[in-house]
Amino acid sequence: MREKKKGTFDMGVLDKHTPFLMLVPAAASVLLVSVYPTLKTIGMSFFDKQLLNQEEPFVGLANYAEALSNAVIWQTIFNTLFFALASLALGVALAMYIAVKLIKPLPGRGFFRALFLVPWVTPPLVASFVWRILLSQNFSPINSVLLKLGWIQGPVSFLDNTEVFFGFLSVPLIMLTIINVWSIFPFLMVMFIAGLQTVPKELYEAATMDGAGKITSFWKITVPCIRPVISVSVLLELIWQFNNFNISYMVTQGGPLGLTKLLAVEVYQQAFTNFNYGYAASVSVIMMMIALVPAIFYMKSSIREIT
Amino acid sequence: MKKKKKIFGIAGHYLVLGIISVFVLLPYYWMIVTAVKPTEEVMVSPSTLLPSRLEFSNFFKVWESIPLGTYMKNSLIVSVTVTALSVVLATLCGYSISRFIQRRAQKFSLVLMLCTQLIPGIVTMVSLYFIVYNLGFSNTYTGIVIAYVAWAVPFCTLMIKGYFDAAIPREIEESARVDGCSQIRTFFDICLPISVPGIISTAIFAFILAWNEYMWASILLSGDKMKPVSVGIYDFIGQYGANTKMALTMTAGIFITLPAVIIFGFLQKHLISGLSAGAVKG
Amino acid sequence: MKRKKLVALGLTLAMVTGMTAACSGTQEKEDDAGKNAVSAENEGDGEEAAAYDGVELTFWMQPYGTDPAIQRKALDKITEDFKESTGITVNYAINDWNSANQKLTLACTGGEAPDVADIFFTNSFVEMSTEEAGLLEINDVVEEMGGEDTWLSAGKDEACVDGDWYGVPWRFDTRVLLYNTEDFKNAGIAKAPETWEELVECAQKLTETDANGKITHAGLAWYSDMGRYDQTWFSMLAQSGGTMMNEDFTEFTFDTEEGKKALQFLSDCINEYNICSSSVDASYDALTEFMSGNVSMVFGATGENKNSILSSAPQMEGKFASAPLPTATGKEKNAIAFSAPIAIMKTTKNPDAAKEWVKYFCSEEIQLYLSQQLSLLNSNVNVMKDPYFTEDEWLGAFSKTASNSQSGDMPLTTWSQLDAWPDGPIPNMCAKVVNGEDIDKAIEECLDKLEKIGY
Repeated sequence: MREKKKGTFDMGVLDKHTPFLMLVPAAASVLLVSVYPTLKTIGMSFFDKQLLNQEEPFVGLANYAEALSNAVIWQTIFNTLFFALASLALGVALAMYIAVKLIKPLPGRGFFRALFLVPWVTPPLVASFVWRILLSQNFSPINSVLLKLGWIQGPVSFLDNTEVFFGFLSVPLIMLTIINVWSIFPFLMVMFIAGLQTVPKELYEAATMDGAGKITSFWKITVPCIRPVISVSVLLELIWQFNNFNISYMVTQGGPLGLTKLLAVEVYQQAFTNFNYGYAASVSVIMMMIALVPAIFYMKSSIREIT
Repeated sequence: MKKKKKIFGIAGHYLVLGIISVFVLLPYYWMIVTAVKPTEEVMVSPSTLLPSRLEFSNFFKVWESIPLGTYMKNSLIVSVTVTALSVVLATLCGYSISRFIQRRAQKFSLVLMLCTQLIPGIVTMVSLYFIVYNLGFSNTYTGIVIAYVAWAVPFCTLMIKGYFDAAIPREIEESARVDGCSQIRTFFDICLPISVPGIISTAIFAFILAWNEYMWASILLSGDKMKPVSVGIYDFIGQYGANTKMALTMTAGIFITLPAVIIFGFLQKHLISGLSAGAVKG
Repeated sequence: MKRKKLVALGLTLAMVTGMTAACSGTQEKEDDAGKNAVSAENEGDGEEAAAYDGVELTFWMQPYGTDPAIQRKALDKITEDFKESTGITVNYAINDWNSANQKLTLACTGGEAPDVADIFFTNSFVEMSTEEAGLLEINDVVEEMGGEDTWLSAGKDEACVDGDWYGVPWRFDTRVLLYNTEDFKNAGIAKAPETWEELVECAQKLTETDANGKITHAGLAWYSDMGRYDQTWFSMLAQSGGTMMNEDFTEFTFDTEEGKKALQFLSDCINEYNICSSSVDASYDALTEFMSGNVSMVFGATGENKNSILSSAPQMEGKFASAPLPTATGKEKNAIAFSAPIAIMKTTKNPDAAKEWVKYFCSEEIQLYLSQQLSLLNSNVNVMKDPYFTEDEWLGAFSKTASNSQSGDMPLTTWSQLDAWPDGPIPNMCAKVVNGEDIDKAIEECLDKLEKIGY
């Protein structure tokens, strides 16, 4: 097929393997940085590795049994699931709403798009610090406004409310979720705007002719057209948020009384405060197992698509 | 009648955007207000919504308190390097998947990429630390760049592959191949120059990841000379977790956020157009 | 099209600069290693006088004081003077408190380590040290500096493990009562409270509540933030005459009348007397509340608070003072005390140079200078005798407390775990009691968990 030119034999071989060679650097870096350490972690989860103990006996599934029989872990799993799902749902809704608004050719479109990107480029440490002040009892401008309006009697403490519960949901966890929505929606917004730009305008025109309202045409045209974008970005964001560490750690350190503790924070504290590497590893494997569930659904559907 | 309705529509449009802007900008409003308040007004409760007079001393003091300039330089070096390397690796990898791998296997490779995202960063921290340390890269930019690149590459590959699939017609390369170009030359000479929009949007993702990352930077790097800004404001936090330097911290926050905001304010157009030209078609 | 080319060019440029930068980063590192190797050789030659010329040491320290810039300037000065007299270059790195624990843990278990470090949790770090990495035993340095009597007893507790010294005590920390003198005057209170009864009485006068009984101005606040009650309780335990452990540190001894009394008092201040908010809020910080005038007394304030207040809330100048913490009847110990050592890591290539630096850093002259610069107290008995400490109005309360206090951290390997915040058994017990759990039951649960972790 290929015409052998004056290129030497070596060059020919190199050329033949180009596709493979192109894959190597990326694959190697991922293997080194993600895959290999993960395998090590999985291995570690079967040992009772504690830094304060020189021995590391093999304990089989004992770490898992200990984790799963611990009520704190279950609370943490629920917290994490709520945090991931709720911030995703709110984030997607907000991002989609803004995206639809900002696709209209009205003046100021570029300005608002740039403006709404800002939370994404704010380092989480900065954002967490400011939000903690914004939600504090005594230094919060939100409280100042509410007090001035006379809507509240005394300052509200958003992050330490241990009395009001909605089922297993606490006020601090809800606050944390809101902070997270603030930080994740720009990514979704960008993805959705980019997707919306690919939807042919003629489709809407045709729909309007048929007398479809805005809402109908959103569900009947927009959503199906950008379904691939939605599914990829939602899945990724779901996994990312399930693994989220920064917000919970930096804003509340999992407190008060463990109400806002997420799995990633639990892993961190077990490893670095309790020096209990084996147990931390088992909790993180449990984490990966849970995150695998939506991924499997996605894989199934995409495999169905191609066969 | 219809015109009136339209005006209301437009007013409503901006009203809604305005309300969302309040939510988005609230932290920045508070950062700026706290930074310019006279010192005796910062620690007051209930807090005043606006300063009684403007005081800009914090904007100078913060540079003396912590080596913010060095931190910014460090962040910039790391982020730019990560961006460049991730783009190179992801482009090569994405192109290869897009062009040379069977359609069916392509999906599989994307699923693999997804799987790498399942791994929470925190889990691999200790093992990764010792790998990097044993390679002699602890407390170096190299060590931090390796990890960031590997974290950024899967997602970047996904995006750039989508771009090659949708925006670059295969015919161009095929004709080049007929002319006797090697595969690698076809890629560099023909394909790469017309992929710049897709590459820019990919680059932005990598840059933001590197600019914002906290945990790995805090474990791997020590000392002022290496620290990036994403870790920098912890300098103000004392032994007991208390931060009494609220105003200075806020000021540092402004300076830390500003460069990225300016860069991306200008780039957002390219980001979106690059994405919609193909990268998001799945 | 032209623009695209430009962008492409820009990208390439960025790539190139980035790569060179990354490479130069490694280069520097290699250079360092090279120098170290050279200096090691020099030493081998046995040229004693010039033995340290060109030697470089890395020194890790945590941030202290009110302004990071002050610490840098102080360290610049000390390291320069040291270089002049010995030829040793000390490269210091200030690691923030949030990453210090991980970094030291990794350093002790075979990761990147400095030559000399400012440490804490000495017992844990000694335990996790391996053959090659971790803390170096330095009995000789301690002996040379005058033996254990050179430092307050809390210093020995934190630096000495099983009779061997792994560090030289430097900073010292104890807790006092910080109060707003203006609030006191307005409420007609003449002097700082000396017993718990007086404390409650004072606080009740100063506390203001709304119609629902919710505190709008607290008479009292615990210094520790985010509902971390253990530290407050340790002081209360001392004030009620109780102890955490027996003298050999083999058994916990807080399951006594005194221990229960202290727990009861902790909980009563919040739930019964309503003079103190529960402060479990992540954004609640006693000191900032004090600065803003929301709180009249802070239980457990530290030495550096004065400068923090003056720099962050100048309107408070002349309106606050310190006093030893009140005790149950006025006769017991006032508070707990902590000390922290400077340690040498086994991985150092120049143990002798490192020892020189530790001796210099921990000398009385330097320690007094650092105490002044970083608003710290000191473990060294002679340093604490300096008029700077004894004659200062603010620091006087600390000097007094220092001589009438007991150890806050227990010298146990697992102490960092037992007292881990937020889920360690001891903080957990305190939080439970404050939240209304029966004291006997909470103590029992706590002792069970302590037993399970081991000590």
